[in-house]
Amino acid sequence: MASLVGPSGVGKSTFLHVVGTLDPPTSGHVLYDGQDAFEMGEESLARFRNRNIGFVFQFHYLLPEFTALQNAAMPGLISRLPRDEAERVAREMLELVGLAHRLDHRPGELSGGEQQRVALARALVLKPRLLLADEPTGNLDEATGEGIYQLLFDLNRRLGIAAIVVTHNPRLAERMPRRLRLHEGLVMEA
Amino acid sequence: MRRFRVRASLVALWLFVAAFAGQLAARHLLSARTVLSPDAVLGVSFGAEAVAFLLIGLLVSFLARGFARRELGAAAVVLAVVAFVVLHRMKPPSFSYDKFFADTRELVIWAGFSGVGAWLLALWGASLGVLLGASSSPDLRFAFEAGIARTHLRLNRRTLAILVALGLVPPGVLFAAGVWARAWDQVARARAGMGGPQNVVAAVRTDALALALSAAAVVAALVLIGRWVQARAQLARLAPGQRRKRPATVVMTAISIAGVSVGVWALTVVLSVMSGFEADLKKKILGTNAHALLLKYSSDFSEWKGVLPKVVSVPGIAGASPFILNEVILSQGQTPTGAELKGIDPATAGSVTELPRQVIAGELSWIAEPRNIPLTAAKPKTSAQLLGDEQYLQDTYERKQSHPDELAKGVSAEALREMPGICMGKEMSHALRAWVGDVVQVITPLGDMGPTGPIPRSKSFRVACILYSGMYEYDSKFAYIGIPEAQKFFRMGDNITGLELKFRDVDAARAEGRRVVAALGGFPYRVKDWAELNRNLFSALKLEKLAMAIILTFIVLVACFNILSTLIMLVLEKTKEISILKSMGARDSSVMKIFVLEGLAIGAIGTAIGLLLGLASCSFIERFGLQRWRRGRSKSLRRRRWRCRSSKAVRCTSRTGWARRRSTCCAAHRSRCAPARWLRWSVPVG
Repeated sequence: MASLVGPSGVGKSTFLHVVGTLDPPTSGHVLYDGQDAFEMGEESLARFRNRNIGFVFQFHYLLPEFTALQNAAMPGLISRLPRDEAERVAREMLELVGLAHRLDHRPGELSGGEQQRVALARALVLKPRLLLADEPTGNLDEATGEGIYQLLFDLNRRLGIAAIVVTHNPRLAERMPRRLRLHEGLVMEA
Repeated sequence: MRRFRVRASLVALWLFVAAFAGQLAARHLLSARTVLSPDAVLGVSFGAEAVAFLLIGLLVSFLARGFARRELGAAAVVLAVVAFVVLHRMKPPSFSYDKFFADTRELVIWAGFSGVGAWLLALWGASLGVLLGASSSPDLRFAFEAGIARTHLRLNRRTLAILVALGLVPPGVLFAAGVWARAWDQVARARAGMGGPQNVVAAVRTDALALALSAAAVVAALVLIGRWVQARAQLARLAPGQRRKRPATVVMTAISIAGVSVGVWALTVVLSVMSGFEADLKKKILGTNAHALLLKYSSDFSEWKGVLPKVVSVPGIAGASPFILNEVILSQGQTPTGAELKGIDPATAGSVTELPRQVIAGELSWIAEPRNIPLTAAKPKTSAQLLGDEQYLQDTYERKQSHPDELAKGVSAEALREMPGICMGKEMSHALRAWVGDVVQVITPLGDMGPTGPIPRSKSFRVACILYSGMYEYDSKFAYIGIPEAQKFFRMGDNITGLELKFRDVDAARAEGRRVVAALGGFPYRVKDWAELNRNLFSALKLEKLAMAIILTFIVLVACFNILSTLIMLVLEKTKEISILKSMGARDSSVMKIFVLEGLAIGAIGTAIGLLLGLASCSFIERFGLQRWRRGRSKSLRRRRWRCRSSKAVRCTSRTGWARRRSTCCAAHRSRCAPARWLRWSVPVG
């Protein structure tokens, strides 16, 4: 697990987007297992993103018309898993983040912390190799944020998922095994 | 910018040219080898070409791994040039549409049309290809896309139930209205002394299925209205903010569906009414005239007794009957009228025309056996074909009973019995004031030569029957006598004018006619079919129908733009959602599929509802009849007409009122709402 800190506007989110293959870099390459991600073509890139990368944003970005379960099952459905199978893994993941009792609620009916936990479950449902979290607790109070972080550490330990977490909270950043700082376009070990 | 793929473009060009050549060849072959009409040949060949262009676009999108806009465009430009050169070489008259190609400038326009048409159709195919994953690998699955589209359109079980109800209840109510209106009509007739069921229940009981259907429709409508009132009451109890929010796009979707429905509804009803009009006209024309006439290129047709069995034995022939046709003057007392006098064989006439079923008084067979014609006034028959003319017949009959009959004019009963019989149309009998049993004079100008020039010849006939076809032309112009009488009167010997033919398949009249002529050995025989005999009428009808179809297609086109604007709104509303889906690994084609499925769903639902409404309206019109609305024959009918008018006015005013109320309602609803609710709803995707 790595934390990424830096002042506002330095390009932390852009860095995450480029690493997550959402934005192509203007120069340079993004290599996964020695292969350039942007050489893959639209379809393979989409499949790669679906299988290997999970995103958690500052806002939860859940689909408002779907229930928590349907939202968490969406990556599974996109990878063409059968509906039952996708819902089964989604239910497992929602139980893991402690939302077993809120499966059939829509995002509008969930609290901010719950919404963010659904987003986390959605990012992790297909067991990706890399989790990219962009200030996942930025909109939450301290206690709820702490809960989300505990969950992150816990999942990292149990599922072995690598994670880059962008944060403004120095205390949280301190607790990560690896700390990175983005300064004037350069990533440095803090 | 993507690089131009020469190979894909060349393949497209090659296939375009092949499709164009195929179209020319198909048109040539179809018109030479089959009996399809020129319009059908054009439709089939151009339709096949259009489908080919579409498939070519689909194929090329996979070859070029993308939309292939420029590749297809380049191929289309070359196709236009090729088309120009080919059409220029095919000089008239080898080309069937020579009048279009007389001028090189027109040729340029037509070649341009074929190029642009090929490009547009191929682009359509290519977009379908991109949708199916042409840019990388084909992906025909669309399960989760369909799920998302369903959620966007709110197509859950409740909405589906409402849609089904909306689709079935108004048609059912219309249908029920038709059944009851007809029942009322029957009762109104019965009360006017024309026979039939005396009360509404008895009239409806004869139509058990219709009764069940209409009862079901009314019950369903009542249940729905009840549920709606209940839901409104429940909503009224909630604070405005507690109500479930309905996004603007859902309302727009509903409006699009309504737009498509109305377009399809109008198209269905108008085209059905036009087709019904054409069929009705065809029925009337073919009721009095045969499907075709077998004629001879000479005035000598005395061998017809040998020809008749040969004609009847041709497969596809349902009947044949000899006829003689000549123009005469008919007079009764001081009233003359011009007429087409037709000699027929009453025994076989029924096998080629509907004449025996058109008789409303007397008998058709009496023209062969005039001794059976009664000496007192004959009672009219009750006929289903008479649309409200029963009263006229009854009046005529009653007048005739009090009128001095022919015996009173000093002609002996025996002399009357010896007179040959004649049948005439209702309008002619009206003009001549001649009823069954009356004597009329038939005058032909083809008379003997006298000292002062030709003297017209005349003969007395007794009216044997009155016919009613429904066509004024026929009812006022045609009179019928027996073949032997006509031969004697016109001094034709054994000759006849020709044979009337009836085919098993009316629409194959042309081909069947050719077969008959071939069976008789060709010249000097020839066949004129009904389409040829009434060409002006039917081509005018067809043109009118085509024009109506084109005009109404514009309504559907407007509905399409409606769908388009709704989809654009939807895409704008869901931009965020699209990027989320893509961050989760959704492909570009998946996102496209979602919105295409939504467009298809709107179109399909709208079309289904419109079709159901159209069918129900047609059934209503069929049962009730449009003309009834204009005629105020009985008291109840007149009242209904008035009611219909007033309700139209009410509807008009209420509609503008509704729109105004709806908009104020909407604004009021928004203003009343608690801000926190809306913020909670709209912030998350910010």
